[in-house]
Amino acid sequence: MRWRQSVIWRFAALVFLMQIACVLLALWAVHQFTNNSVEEASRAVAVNLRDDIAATYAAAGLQAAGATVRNRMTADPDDSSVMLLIGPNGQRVAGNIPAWPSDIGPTESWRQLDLLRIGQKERDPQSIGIVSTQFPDGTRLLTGHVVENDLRFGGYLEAALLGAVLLAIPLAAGAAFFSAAIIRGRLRSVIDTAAAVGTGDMKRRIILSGSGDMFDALGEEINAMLERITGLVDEMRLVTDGLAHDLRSPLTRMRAVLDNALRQSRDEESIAALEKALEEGDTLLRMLDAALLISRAEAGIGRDSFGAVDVAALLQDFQDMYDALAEDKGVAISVDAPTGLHIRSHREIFGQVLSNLIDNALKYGGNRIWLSARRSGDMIEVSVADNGPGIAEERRIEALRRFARLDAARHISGAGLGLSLASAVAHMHGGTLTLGDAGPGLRVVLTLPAA
Amino acid sequence: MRTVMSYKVLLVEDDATTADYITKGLVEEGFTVDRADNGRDGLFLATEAAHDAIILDRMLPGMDGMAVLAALRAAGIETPVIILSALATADERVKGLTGGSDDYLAKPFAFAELLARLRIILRRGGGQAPETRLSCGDLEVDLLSRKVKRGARAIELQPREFRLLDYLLRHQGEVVTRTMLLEGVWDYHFDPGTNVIDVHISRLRRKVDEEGESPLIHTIRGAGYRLSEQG
Repeated sequence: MRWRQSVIWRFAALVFLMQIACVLLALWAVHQFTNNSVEEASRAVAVNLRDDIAATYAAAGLQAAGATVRNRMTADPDDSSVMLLIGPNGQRVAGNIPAWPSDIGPTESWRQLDLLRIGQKERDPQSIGIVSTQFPDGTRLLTGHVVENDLRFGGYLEAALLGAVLLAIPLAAGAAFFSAAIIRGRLRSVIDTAAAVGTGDMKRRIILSGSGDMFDALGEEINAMLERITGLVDEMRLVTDGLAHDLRSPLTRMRAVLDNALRQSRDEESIAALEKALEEGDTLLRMLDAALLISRAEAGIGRDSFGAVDVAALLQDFQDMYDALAEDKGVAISVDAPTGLHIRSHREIFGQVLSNLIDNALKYGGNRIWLSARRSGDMIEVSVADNGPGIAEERRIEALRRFARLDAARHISGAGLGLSLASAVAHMHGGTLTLGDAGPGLRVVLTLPAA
Repeated sequence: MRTVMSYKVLLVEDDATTADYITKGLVEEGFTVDRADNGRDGLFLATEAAHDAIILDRMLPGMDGMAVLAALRAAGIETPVIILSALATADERVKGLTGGSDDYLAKPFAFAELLARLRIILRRGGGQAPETRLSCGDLEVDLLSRKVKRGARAIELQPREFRLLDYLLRHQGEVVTRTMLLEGVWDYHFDPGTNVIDVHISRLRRKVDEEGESPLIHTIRGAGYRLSEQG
């Protein structure tokens, strides 16, 4: 359960981080773009100013350029331009700063520095962007534009952007939570349906939202798959029922013939032979039943008749049923199961499994059989253990195969279906069967979901 | 054992060999038998409601046995029905019993088993008062105090031996099969396939029939056991 949740929450975290990253990237881009364009505009003003003055200088000489500077100073509408014209001998011709700043070279393409202009309204030096030019005769021209306001605007913008980021965090978290919740909700219906079908509710289907999205597509595909599985299970039921019928009918007739013969027979030898034939017929029938039950259990047929079964009571029943037979064979059966353990099962089917396992333990085990049950989390472990020779670890998988008989030299009657039947029935319950070491002996453990 | 009875039984079975076998056995036991080899005829005969019991196969041509049973019960005909079926799984058995049958016997079956079960459902109709004492010859059982006596001899029985004896006494004079005992005493319906029941019976027999006493528990070859004074 935990890992499934964590996938959803990892997804939510990813959504959250992606959103925050997007917001940050957008804000950074806005910041860069506005900064650049604001600076670009200021520089264009300074360059225009320089070009105008330079053109005047080239056309009409130093004094005319000086006049232009003065003109421009008086005409500066928003009091944001900086100009300084220095003659070839270093004399100040015109301008609104007292002197050439020491750290400004003769040909700057764009420099920012804090300057105090003559006659400016503000008391403090302002941040100013500057371009400078030197003419061939040594005349130097400096033009610039106040960027202080631009910077302040940038500051506001940055504060606003930071605010936007802070606002985006809870929104992104909310979006992440809701998207995770939606996916969880949609997946839950798929999981619930699969679980319901897995435990035998073959008619259950995923309810589609009708939106035709990917979840609906997934649901449709799974529903189609379930239809097919249901069809196969129904077919399986028909085949096994048909097989049962076809094989049982001749067995029924054989039984009738033998029974009649037995009733008319007076010869001890023929009676013994007929009884043996009847017995073998019954063995054949039991094998057929077990093989059919395995097939049906593997297909999950019969789960619809499951109810709560008291495990301790069931084990007591089988001890009660088998201990007289066991005692005659010198075997003691003991039960160790707390009351209150219930599994969802069918006591006939589960009883058949227990009967097979106890039979095996009587045939191949030692002089003790332990029937036990215990809770292990959501599961209940039912085990049948003996103190016989057990099954070597490397042969245990083989032992679960149908008609497997591990010791070929031992001709004890038995179909070799007991363990594979138990394994199929365990799977039918949504559980597992494991073969373990009872040290010494075989321990067969059925791990089944608690009711 | 021959008992003269005038019970009338309807047998609905499509397999001729099996039907002959059952009919022959029932007639020998003094029953009158009507036969139908398909579901429709079976239903038609059954609706006359002139039978004491119906033996009904499940897989029939024309009309399925369960459908016949459902139609009968819907028509208010309560004649006891034993279903005979090749569908032997636990869930099929439950389906048969919840479908309105009085007993469910899987094929192949021993005739003795069918006969024993038939006798039980026939007797069931008579209605039984709750009994507190059961006896057979000089064997007496007090169901309340759970005391068992044979003549003057007190017999100590384990709980399951007591239940076995109780079951045998309630069906005394009748053959009870191993699967009937498994059903009656432990309430399981599968064939355990070993001599599980035989061992219990032989223990009970050792306690009930001691040396020198006339035996009450008899083994019926190929069928099961019978508790009675006569062998």
